[in-house]
Amino acid sequence: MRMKTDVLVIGGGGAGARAAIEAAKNDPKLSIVILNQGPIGKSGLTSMANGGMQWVSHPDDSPRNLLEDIIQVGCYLNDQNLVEVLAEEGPKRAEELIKWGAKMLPFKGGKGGGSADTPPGRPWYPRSHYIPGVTYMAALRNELERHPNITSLEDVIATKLLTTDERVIGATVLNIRTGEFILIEAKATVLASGGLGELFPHSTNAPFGMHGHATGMGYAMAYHAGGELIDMEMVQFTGNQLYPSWLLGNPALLSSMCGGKYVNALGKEFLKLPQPRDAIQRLAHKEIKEGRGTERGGVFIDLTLSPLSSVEIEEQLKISLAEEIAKERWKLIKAMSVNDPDPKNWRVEFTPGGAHFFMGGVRINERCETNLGGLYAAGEVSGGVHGANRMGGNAMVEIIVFGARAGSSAAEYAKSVNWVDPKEATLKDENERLCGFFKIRGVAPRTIMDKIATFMAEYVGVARTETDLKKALSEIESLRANDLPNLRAPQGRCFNLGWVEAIQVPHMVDVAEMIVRSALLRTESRGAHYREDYPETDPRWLKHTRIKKNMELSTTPVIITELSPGE
Amino acid sequence: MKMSDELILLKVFRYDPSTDRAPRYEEYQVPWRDGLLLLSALKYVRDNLDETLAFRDYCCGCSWCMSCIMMVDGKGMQTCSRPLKPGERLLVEPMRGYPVIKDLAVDFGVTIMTPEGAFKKMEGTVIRKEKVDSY
Repeated sequence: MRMKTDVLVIGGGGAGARAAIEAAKNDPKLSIVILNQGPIGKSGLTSMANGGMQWVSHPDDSPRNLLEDIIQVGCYLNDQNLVEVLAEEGPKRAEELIKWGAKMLPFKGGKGGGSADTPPGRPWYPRSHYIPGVTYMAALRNELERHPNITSLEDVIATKLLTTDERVIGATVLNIRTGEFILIEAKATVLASGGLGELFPHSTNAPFGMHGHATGMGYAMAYHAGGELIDMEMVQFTGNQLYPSWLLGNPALLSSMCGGKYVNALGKEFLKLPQPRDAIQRLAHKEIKEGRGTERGGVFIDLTLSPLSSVEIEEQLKISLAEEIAKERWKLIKAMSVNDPDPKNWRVEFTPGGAHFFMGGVRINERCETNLGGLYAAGEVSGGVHGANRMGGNAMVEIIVFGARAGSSAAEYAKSVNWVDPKEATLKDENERLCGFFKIRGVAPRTIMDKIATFMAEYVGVARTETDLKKALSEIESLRANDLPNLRAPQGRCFNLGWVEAIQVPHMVDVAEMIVRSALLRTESRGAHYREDYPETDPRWLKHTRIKKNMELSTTPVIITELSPGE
Repeated sequence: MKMSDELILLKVFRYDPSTDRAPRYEEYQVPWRDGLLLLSALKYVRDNLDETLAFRDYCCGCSWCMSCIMMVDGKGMQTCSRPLKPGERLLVEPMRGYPVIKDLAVDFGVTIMTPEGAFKKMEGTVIRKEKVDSY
């Protein structure tokens, strides 16, 4: 099957949906196709977000204050032209989202909704707002439906970007429902395919274990098309809950929202908020490594030490879990919570190293253009906005701010160019490649995914060394030599999730390799990238690592417009 | 505790419109563990017992998104928030009122948070509306 569209949007989370809407508003004559791996609003990561968002709303606060905080937390590795956009356009885009029906819940108790990771010593402003992901996506979905020039394709996965002469001209797409391929010719393509948490065994992107929505497909597709990716070593980790086993997503919320204290096995508080997320991870890692961890190998977030009362903690928990929407989950948590329903008595054990967010990605400018003609990127798949560390509450703002910009730029570009007919054999080749996974014997994709997750956690986690990173590289080589050639999908074309995984797995290996090679290159510690063998931040490393086709590594300057280190 | 009490028995609706003339039911035994949820048990089936089983995985895992809703013993529920007790026997079927794509995966059509809307009928699919007894 073949389709033609002016603008193709890959990914139906917040960034993709917002891009499609902006392109549709740009000109009602433009046709827009948006692809999503499941039903829009029931798949991807935006819907699962707890919903903390920060934008400037207090009269004493200013975009300049926010910009300075973001750059300090990002360890000056942010492209400042992008930070300016994020700080300035956040309020406008959030207001628009609320107008479209997203429900903002009130913050109560605690510090009244401040950002927990304001850098130490910086003035603190109340900036956090709370829009649970599910109402956020419901609003975007409703808005998508209001534009007749948008066609949503659900249960589809893009498998390859099509290029000619450094320009992206569309994509091949698998219709998961039928197992058929679609060739989509597009004048402009927006990549909004999200992150890669599932490369790690524990990730807030997949609280029940891997499920195939944050596998880093977008990074790999851009890479194979000739795109430039920056800062691929920058994985943001958060706590991974060890005990009790009920699932909260991100246990850090117990501290930032409910006032829990970070305490080691000896009962001593080992850090005080506010702290950037990377510092929390490193300090927790240090406690455990130096023998002050629990028997399970973790440390505590201790709610018995919270300044809040039982009632206040429960109220905050209900907000962080959007209890009014997630009634079943709330009942379950109460039923399973260490036999003590009073949260004031909870001590939650966690280990560092749950993959939470990816700061690196496809390099963009403030118009969301990439180095390839006709290719735009927005959201987690793009890099440069957050530098070496993302402040809490910025991801959900980033996706609508840059989603809208990508949609607008793609629409303008689409109006200025024509379609390019891809080579006749393109669809046939892709069909043959992907049907090649149907074999009687071989290695199941899940086996390879588990192997990737195991070595990424062991060698490419919170604390890295050259020795470990090289071990990871040899694991990758072994996967390429022994496992990938035998990669096998279950039989059957219709809704075959094993086949979808088989399509994703080689890309996951590519992305793992990009992370490891970039991490080896950066011989310093900065933000989320902590090298035990190079523990200091080195001013000479104030530059992006960059990776291109054939794993070609180089560095490229950070864009500094407002704030230099030391100011 | 006897061994058999620690197994969960799932009777699961199976139907592949591209090959099957009619739906059928298959039974799977899943070892129980503390904190096991129905959706995790289905993932266990797919990873260990039958790799062809199709169902919609969780999106949020927090009982928000309704991606994982199915009929369990004739009652619609979010399987990500359904804890299992040792020895439980359950009948698991696709959510009623939506066209079946394959097995437990349905086409939610154009509706999302409000199931009382129009849904698109897809050709060659079964729409389950009849009431089914529990297992």
